[in-house]
Amino acid sequence: MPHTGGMPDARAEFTAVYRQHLAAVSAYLARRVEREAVEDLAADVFAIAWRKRASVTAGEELPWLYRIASYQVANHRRRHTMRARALALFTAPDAAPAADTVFDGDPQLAQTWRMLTGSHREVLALVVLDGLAVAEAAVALGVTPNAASIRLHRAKKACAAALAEVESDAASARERSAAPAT
Amino acid sequence: MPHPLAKDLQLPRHRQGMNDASLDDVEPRLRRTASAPAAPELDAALVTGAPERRAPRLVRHGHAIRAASISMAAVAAVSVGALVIPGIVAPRAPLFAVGGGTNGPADSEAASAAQIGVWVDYRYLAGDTLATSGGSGNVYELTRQGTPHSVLSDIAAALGLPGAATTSQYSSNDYPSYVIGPEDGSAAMLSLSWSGAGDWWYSDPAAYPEPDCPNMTVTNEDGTDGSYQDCQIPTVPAARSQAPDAAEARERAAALFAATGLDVAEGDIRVTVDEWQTLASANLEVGGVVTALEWSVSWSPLGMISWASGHAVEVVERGAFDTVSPVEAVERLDDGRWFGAAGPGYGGGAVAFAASDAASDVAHGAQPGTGVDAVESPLRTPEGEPVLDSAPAVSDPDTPSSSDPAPLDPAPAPLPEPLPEPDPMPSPETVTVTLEHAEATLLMLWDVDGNAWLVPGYAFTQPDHGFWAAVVSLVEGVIQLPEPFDAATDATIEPMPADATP
Repeated sequence: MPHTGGMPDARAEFTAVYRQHLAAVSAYLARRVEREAVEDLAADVFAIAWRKRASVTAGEELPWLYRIASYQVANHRRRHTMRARALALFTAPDAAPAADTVFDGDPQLAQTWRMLTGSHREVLALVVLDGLAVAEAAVALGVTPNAASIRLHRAKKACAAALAEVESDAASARERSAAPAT
Repeated sequence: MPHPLAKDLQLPRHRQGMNDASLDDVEPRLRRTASAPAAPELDAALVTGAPERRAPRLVRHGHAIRAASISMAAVAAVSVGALVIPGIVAPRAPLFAVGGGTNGPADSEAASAAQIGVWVDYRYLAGDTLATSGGSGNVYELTRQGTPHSVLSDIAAALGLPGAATTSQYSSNDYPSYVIGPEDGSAAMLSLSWSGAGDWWYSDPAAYPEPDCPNMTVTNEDGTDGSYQDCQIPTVPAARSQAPDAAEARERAAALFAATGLDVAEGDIRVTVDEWQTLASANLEVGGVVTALEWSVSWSPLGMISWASGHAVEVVERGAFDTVSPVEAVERLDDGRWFGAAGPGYGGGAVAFAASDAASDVAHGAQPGTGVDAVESPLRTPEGEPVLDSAPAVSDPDTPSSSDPAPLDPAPAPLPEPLPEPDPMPSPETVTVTLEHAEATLLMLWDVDGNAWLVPGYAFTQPDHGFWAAVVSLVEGVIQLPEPFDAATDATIEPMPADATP
């Protein structure tokens, strides 16, 4: 591949740093979009990362890649929504994994996940599913660590409350179905 | 007393009694249950080839539309301030509410009320005469066609502007813009924004006479003599004005508008004539409804086009959708996310106030095809007469209009004196407004990608307050609204709750 000027060093450095995150980015995307879209979106993520590489703090590359990926996931979902609905335009979709993708083995948890707001799902997914520390999640979300911590705390509470509601409804339904017919 | 977490959880209050044990259970259960995705193994060429790949736009759309709204409104505000173009500020103002989390019409009215020093909290009630049944209405997308260079060239040809299109110095990936001519105001220039409603703008500084700049002598503070140039653009006497009269302006404007994408009958073009310009404006009609998209052209007393503006979009129908009743829509007046921009007949608070004072706007009757009866225009003089009629009017540039303001010698405005803080601080006056009249119309909205749409809406009039408020009438679910702004979680600075120790 022809290189010119100072590019070789920059390219080599970029490759060395970012190549190790390929698997993590793939896993992040695979939780959020259909499998056949992962490679294209990952290519976009790394292309953007190359263009914006000067803006990342050393050591924060992975959560920063997640942040870029979250935008690509949101845009990808918007394009899909546009095809499915005449007008689903007035808000940006969140980049959290879909309930059917990650919680298909637990219908109650899947229902709980759908009840959460997009911002709560996003922070929970980054910390609980993608394994980021709160400070790293803050980078991925583009907020302060303090804000990420508060958001995570509220997300957990919201999730617990929603899960309690789902389980309560399920219990009520079981009682009704078990009651003898009169 | 509501549970302190009620707002955060967005759940019924009786469901919010969480204890620490249930909270601690959540995270392990999420981890336990989450299925590991079958992530494909990516080729390292994705990284090594990144420099060669064309990167897509990196944009957070929610933020982008907010920025777009602000920038477009800023441009509109400048345009209105400098040129008094009715209708341009109104379409953009509501987008602050959509993108910035303000309170829609309530804020708009508050801003209007602030102009006259009144702080008012409006509360809306549905009157008995409002219809209780909904219906349906068409949704239209405003799409840009062709390429920006070809569109710009076509508009330039219609204006007689030579030159090639280039990328504007203000262009960005998110908001590309193009220009023909210099951007420093030294000569005629045409610009095109290739986003949103495809706004284009033309101006020609040579359209006005060269300013007279006599040297004025002054005595400096140290007693020495000094001088400065007192530049003023000379007024062209009405008898020598070469600006077209109203009838000719309509004819010329209709031709220009048609060449730039707006087919409009001459009789539907509004014309005002004063000593500075002859201004012709018309709005795009869709399905018989006058929309907020406006084309304008102004001629200077030298007979040249001094500025013109319009949009490079085509209207694409996206289908009919159910609408709520006017009674149901009243509730939406308290939620700015439903607020949209109606046509010039529903000019919004600020425009309505200005028009009633300055007699600078045009009255409109009912809009055909909306399924509602004709109503009184919101822009009328206290006597109930339209300030200007939209039909062709006899306009003699030799005869000063009786509505022209008398010339006044400029006098230095008195400096405002500092006022003491009121004590106690005043509380807003609460005004309950019973809405008795609504008209079906089309409202312009911007989506998160910055594209413009026309959707069905209702314009409510407030007979005692002289302004209109317009909200989308589509039933829930047709369009996706932003989540309500939550200051507690969305603000940059967040208070640390006592129990939020990481």
